[in-house]
Amino acid sequence: MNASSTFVASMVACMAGALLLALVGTRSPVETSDLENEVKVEFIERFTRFVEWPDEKERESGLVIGVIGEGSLVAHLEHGLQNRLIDDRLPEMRRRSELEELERCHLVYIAPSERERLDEILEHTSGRLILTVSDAPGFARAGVIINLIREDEYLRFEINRHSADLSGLRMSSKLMRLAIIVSKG
Amino acid sequence: MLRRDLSIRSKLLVVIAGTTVLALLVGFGVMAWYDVNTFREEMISQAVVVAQVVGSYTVTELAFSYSEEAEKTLAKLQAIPDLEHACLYDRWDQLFAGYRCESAEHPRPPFDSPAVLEQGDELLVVQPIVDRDESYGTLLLSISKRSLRHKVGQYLRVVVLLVVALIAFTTVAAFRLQAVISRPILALAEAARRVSQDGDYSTRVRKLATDEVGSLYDAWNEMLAQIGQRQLEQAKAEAALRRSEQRFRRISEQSTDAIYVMDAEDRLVYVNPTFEQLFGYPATEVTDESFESIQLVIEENRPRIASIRESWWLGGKAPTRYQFKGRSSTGKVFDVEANTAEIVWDNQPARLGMLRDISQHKQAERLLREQQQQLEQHATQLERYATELERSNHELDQFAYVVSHDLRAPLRAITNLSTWIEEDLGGMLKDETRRQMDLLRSRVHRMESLISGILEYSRVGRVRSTVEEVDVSTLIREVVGDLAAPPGFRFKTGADLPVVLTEKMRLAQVLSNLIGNAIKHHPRDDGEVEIRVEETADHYEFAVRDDGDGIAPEYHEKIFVMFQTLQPRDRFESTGMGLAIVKKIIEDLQGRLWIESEPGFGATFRFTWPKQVPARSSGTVEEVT
Repeated sequence: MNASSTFVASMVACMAGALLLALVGTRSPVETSDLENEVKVEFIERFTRFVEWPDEKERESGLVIGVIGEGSLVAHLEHGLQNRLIDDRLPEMRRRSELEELERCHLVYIAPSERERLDEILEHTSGRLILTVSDAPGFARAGVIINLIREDEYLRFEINRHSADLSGLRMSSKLMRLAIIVSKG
Repeated sequence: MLRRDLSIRSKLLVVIAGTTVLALLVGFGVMAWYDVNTFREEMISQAVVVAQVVGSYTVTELAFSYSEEAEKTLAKLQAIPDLEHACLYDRWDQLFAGYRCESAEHPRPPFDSPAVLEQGDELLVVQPIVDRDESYGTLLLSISKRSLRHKVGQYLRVVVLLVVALIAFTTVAAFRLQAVISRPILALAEAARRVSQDGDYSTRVRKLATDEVGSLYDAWNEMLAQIGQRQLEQAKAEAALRRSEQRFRRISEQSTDAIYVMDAEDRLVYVNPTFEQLFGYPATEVTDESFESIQLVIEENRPRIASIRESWWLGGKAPTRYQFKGRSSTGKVFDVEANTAEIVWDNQPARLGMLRDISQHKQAERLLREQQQQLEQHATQLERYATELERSNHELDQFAYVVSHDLRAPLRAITNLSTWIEEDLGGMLKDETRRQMDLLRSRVHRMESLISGILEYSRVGRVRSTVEEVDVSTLIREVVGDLAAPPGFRFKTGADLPVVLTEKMRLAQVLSNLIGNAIKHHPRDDGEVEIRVEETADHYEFAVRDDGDGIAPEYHEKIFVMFQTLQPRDRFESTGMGLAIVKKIIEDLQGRLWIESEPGFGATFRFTWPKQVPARSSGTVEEVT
């Protein structure tokens, strides 16, 4: 939060997130898709706080976030993260179609639409320092590291420990404690 | 702080026990304070740790709004016994989760940083929950201090008990240990008290240790020994002083001199009995007085005496012997000779004086002087007489000489004339006349002999011949040869006859007279004469002994008088001058002549002959003949 502009932006985002989380915290069921997406964006932002990229120190620019596929969250994600400081830097948002390009990303959101070619995508991401995030049931089991799921009215997340270990990323134990641990089926 | 009159034992006790108790109190006080503080800090730090742990556990719950999980986590805090309640607030200060937490009762405290508050019985720990610089909320823990107080109370009870026990132990130990120091000191004090009470310096204290007190004991013993030694020496010195004083008094009381001692202010501090007698004052009246104040010295002598005394005390040269005229209490004035010396009297410089009454001595001196003067007058007179006598003697000798010399000529004329008358008358003379003429001549001859004798006699004092070495035995032989003794006569001499340095003629004259007398007066023709010489220090003693008739004692003096003969002149042709001449010669040489004889047993004439020739006052007179 070095620059005042980013600080203001961050505060706005926080306020928004707070409202959402307040709703979530008060156990309000996630009714609307928009609210759910907002919360998902907040969750994804939170994940970056509890995951360490070992080469983080060498990285010059901000976190490169790749988005693959289409869905309601994609727009929210782009909008929600574009102006938020992640790790003191602005992320670089990229919508990808070429799978090879994913290898340059740090975080890759895989939309539910990519269920068909999920394995192909994961081939490019697994074993690399790439945090894969999705919000489709069964994606974690398929090999995505973190998968957001709805459990009753609450948003929960699954972590594929094998994929996480394979990626070389350092997952915070605090994160692991809250996650639903799945293994590759 | 400590009372000075306390005994050393009590002081030591107070010092040891006091110091220890003070140290214990301070030590345990600091320890208790530190421990209690530590208990509290431990409790706080435990609470903070719990808060931190809980905070870190609830980061993700807060991050992802998992309030149920947060509740579960907080519920686990019930295992902590003193935990009253725990409240977890989110970023917006809303109660997110809690353990026995009522939102209304426990609002989020207004702290953004970790804080510890003590509110009554509660310890409140405020722990902001932060992860990677991201703030997620605040945790509030409330912990009861009951158990802490209980623990502290228990701890303090133990400490107090321990301190009390230690103080008791310390006091007992101090009471025992102080004896280690106090006992030797008290023993020394007791020894000192005994010594000062009894004055017995022969006691010694027995050393118990070799520390400073031990050294003190040694020093004490040494001091006692020295004092004892000094006392002994002092006693000796005092005894010696007493003896010396006794001796002085004895001497001074027996002294026939008046003795006094005078201090530096010229006051008499001592006088002896003779002094009292001499001046007629009792000692009590003169003590502390001066010679002047009671007028012991006559007025005229006082300035002289005063200046002498002044010189003494100023250290100048002053006579120690002097004379003055003293005055007694009755006003009698007498001569005194003083003999003084510097002494120490009662540790002060003083003057010892001895006075002697020399009045009689002075009178005797005067008398002696007078007598001496008289004597000198007499001597002068005597000398005058002697000179006169000598002159008259000399004149007499001169007269005798002149007379006898002048008488000879007429006698010779008478002899010649009678011869001529006889020759002229020839045969006309009767036998009677012829015999008378012979008698005439013989009387003239005797007269001539007498005159010769007188002449010789007078010559003795006047004429002196040369002094030479005279061999006495040769001289005797010559004398005997000249005397023509009868053939039957025997002469004996001693073996070692000396060689005498003298006038040969005189000695020959003496010996010739004496030996001649022995022959002439001997009744027989076969007599014996013995001559002996004995040598003494300053003279020779000659003895001429014969075995003749001897001389009766009543004539022993008479025989030496001029013209005395013991028998009629007709029987022995003798002038009676021989012994007189002999006597005069010997006496002229200051010798002595005497006779030892008994009638019928011979006679021994003895005379002394000086080895040195005495000087003669009168000058020699040339013989006129």
